[in-house]
Amino acid sequence: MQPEKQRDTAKIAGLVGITGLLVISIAAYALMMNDDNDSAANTAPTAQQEQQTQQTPAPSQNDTQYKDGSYSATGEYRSPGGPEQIDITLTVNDDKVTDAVAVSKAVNPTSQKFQGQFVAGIKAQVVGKSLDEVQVTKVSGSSLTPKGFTDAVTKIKAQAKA
Amino acid sequence: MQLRFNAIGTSWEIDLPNQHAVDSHQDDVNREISAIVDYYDRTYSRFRPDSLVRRLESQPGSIELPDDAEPLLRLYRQFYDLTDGLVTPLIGSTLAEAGYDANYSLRPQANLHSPPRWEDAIEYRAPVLTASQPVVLDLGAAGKGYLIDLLGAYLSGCGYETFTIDAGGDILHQGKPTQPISVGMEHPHDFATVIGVASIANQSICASSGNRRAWHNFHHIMNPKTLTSPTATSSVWVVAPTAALADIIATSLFFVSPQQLLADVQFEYALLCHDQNITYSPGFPAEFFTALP
Repeated sequence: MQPEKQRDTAKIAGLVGITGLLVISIAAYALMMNDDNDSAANTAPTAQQEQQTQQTPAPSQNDTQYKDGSYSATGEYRSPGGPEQIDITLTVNDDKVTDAVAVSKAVNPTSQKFQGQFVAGIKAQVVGKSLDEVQVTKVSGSSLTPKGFTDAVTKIKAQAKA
Repeated sequence: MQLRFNAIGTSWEIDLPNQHAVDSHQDDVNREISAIVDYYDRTYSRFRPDSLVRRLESQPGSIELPDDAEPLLRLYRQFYDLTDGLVTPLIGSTLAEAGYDANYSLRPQANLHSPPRWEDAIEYRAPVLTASQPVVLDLGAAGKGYLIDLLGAYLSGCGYETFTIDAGGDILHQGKPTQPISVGMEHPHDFATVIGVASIANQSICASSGNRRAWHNFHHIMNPKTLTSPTATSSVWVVAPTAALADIIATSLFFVSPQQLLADVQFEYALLCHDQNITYSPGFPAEFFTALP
């Protein structure tokens, strides 16, 4: 059993290690994807940039810098618990990252924990699609409000009108 | 075959395959499911005047809870600690003061009060729950999911290998992973549309929204410290191995970040804000309909 403080330090070191890996991955990815000789670092499509670019008009086919498709890379780093790996796959469409999947390959429990925390959180802007257009067997949401509650609201509305 | 019924304030659908050997006992299965639901309600509901937990509302004392209370209260204690006391079974008194009482008066009192701290008010040594002061227990954060799991365990025990239990959109599926069910994720402001389709096999998906059970400035989730209902997130979906876990995590995510919980429990999540921005874990088993040009 290690003293608490030492464990915390180890955790922080692990986290820094993983963050470092991501920076390397994105930089490597940008270099890999960059057809032109522009500054790769400035055009690395991070998740944040994806959100901004979604609001701008799509560039025409000829202007795209990156070829559409999926790109995978395995990153390696040394954690306090030993060497670890993480797989990152990015899908690019019209110069935008449309999907990003990080798969933890960590074997050390602490690394698994931090990779799990790190890979969390892809952002996107969603739109509703009509239930007629999709095939589902169930729906999960809030439309089925408890009956007692709905009855009470109806009653209060009626009282308010009276 | 499909069983449909209303219980604990929502509508239930249980889908079972047509297994002839088991279906000959269909009436028994129906009866037993009703019995489990009724027992659950009589024990844990704060909306029933004759329930066991209501005995602690007017005066301090001890009640003897059934065996299945142990994992339920352990789950609550875990999330009470993980959320720094924001998810608490003692929130019932605050919800009632705000108007979400047994009569659904929906009329907030002028002054709301924070519930007592767990350690100041209740002590649980299975099977006895002792309250040192009057308490209004509200097990709404995990209760529905927990009942879903109880029914699932019963069906498994009956020999059903495949089933889907749907309690008002909180769903548990059991069966072959090769035959997942498709679950539409309802748009919180337009129930005719879905924002994604999740694929669920041998796990549970639970949803929570702040926009429907809403009155005054409140909805069914209240922060025990600020005495307000959280508004930053519109809807939450959680996929976890059990419905109780998915249910209580969905409530927790109105208060804390997923990262605060992911260190201790494994789950997938999707958080939808009012501006339709969604944040989801990379492993969330769904296709989302995104607003890409």
